[in-house]
Amino acid sequence: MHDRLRNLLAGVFETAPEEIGDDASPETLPGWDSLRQLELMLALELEYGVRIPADTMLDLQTVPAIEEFLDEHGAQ
Amino acid sequence: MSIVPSSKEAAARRTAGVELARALDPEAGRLRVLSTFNLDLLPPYVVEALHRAGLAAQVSVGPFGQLHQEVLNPSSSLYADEPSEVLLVPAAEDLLEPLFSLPSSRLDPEAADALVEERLAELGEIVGTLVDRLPDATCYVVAFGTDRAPVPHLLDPVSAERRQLVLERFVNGVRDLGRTSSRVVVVDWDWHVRASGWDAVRDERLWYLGRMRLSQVGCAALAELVARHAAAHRGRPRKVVALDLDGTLWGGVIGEAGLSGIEIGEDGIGLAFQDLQRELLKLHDTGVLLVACSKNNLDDAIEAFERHPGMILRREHLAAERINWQDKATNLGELADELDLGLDSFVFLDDNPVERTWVAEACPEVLVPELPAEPAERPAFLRGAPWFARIGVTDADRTRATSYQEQRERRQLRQTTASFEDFLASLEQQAAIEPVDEATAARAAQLCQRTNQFNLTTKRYTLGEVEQLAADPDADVLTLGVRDRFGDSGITGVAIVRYVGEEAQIDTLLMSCRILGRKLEDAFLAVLAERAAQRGSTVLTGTYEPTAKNMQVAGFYEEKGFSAGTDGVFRYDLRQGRPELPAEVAVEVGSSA
Repeated sequence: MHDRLRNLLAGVFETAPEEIGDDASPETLPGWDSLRQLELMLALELEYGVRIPADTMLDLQTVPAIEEFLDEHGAQ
Repeated sequence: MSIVPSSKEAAARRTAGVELARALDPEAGRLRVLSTFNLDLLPPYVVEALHRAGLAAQVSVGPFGQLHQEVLNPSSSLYADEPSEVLLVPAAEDLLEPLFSLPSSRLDPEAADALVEERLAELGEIVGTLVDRLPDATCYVVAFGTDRAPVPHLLDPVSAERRQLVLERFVNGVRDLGRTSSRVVVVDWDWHVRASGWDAVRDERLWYLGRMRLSQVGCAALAELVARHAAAHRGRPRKVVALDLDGTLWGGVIGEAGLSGIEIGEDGIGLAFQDLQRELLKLHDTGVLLVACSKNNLDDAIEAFERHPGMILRREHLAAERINWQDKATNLGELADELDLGLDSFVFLDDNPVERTWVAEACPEVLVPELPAEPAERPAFLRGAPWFARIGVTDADRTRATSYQEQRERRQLRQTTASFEDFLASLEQQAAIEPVDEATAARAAQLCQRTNQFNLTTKRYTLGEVEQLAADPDADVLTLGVRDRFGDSGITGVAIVRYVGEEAQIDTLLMSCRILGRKLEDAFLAVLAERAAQRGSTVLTGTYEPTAKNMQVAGFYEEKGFSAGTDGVFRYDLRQGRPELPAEVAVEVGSSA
């Protein structure tokens, strides 16, 4: 995982970047609830200049899924 | 000035708010959010916006859509939280949902009217209950309308089927809730959101995914607006505008261009300067003091004020002036002394960036806004500035400017009168010392909040607390009103005495600096002692709590004949005598409430 994404996750989940594992998901990361999910999506949009469709917002729940989405949608 | 930040700025505020919330003083007040829609995103923005306004509160959000249950049920999570502030956000689209969903065959215009009145009555009950059950709390009620007409394809705004007017009736009804109590503050979101528009503050995806009516940017904007109201309500707005003249109040340099050469009037850019003066006059009329701070020949400047037909401001609107060739930081210091106000009460308006930089460096307490270089932008700039925001106008605000004018005349008299005692006698001072009542409680609380220098204990009582103390049979809350031959200074002093056993304990003793040095404090003390003795107290006690600003009263009790105890308490034995009433003050003592 890129440090840029790791730092972003750390900011949203109010934790240190070292605490964000490559397999981070709602099961492994405390506080990853539906509110944080939305905050995470909005933070991704701002950081990478992408627009995430509403029906995708609740699906991007793992680091690999997020990375794949960013790759496919021309993240800056 | 729009309250809506950019997405980037909003994100930065969230990050800062999260950090601030973690480091909050556990003693800080608690602000509870109750909303008809999901506002879980809001707390960090409120923490951050309050912080920028110099305030602190822990912010939590109650379960959304449960206004009634939370407020009316005394064992709800709202009351368990013991909030000092409640933020109510009743969105029209939620409370009036049938207006948006039901066809007119099922909700005719009469039924729509009835629905709105019913919801308003319920909101009134909710707010009334909050005020009753949380006697110290402030309730911020957000007038949260919508830009969506329920039936938008009917374009006639007054068509009953469009349902626009009933919707507006609802928002106006929410605005009226502010009249019910001084602890209810209406936050007019509907009005303030106009500058940027609703599209800038919502994200439709968040509504469908999370029942959120505000985006992160929208949350940042609401937080900003609430913080401005909280700052205005808690009463620490700036009190003085120090004005440069050339290039600021009028265009051009009067010393060079002469009276007819400066730009001020109905034509061209002169109108922009006039409009700026009109805004300043509005500030003057609501209690903000205007002072001149200019490098100029006094005679030139005075001529502009007295003789130029285009001037809106006149010399009588100035509470003080320093028009000379001294540097402006020195002048500001002198102005602060003359007005008995701290430099932290000042805003400095000057078109010259060099002067601004110098003042900002030399007097960091002075607020130095970056006045737009373009004069045409300045009236709007001043209109949008939050520095003088307050909720309403008190009688003291209305007469403040006049009383400073009278003060100037008193000072002139002092210079022409031989001895100080003669001067005091010539003032014909009358002090009215009375138990606080409904009409004066707000002013008493305002003085508790604002008085820094002559304030022995600096306890910042809120209106609710003043009212509670006034109702307490074992406490006295007294106000001091002062009149003299120049006019009525209004209520300028407060004393709170608690009666404990045989002791009368002075909990609070404060006076506005405007009336110091006139033996009024002696009169106040004498009356406190007399009342205490009449209640059977044998000793009058007081304490001094030092702050950064109240050094001048450190020795007050000892000067007045109290003996200092090793416990930090000053005592006056009422069995041995009483502090004397000064001959220079006629005292009128109001009857017990």
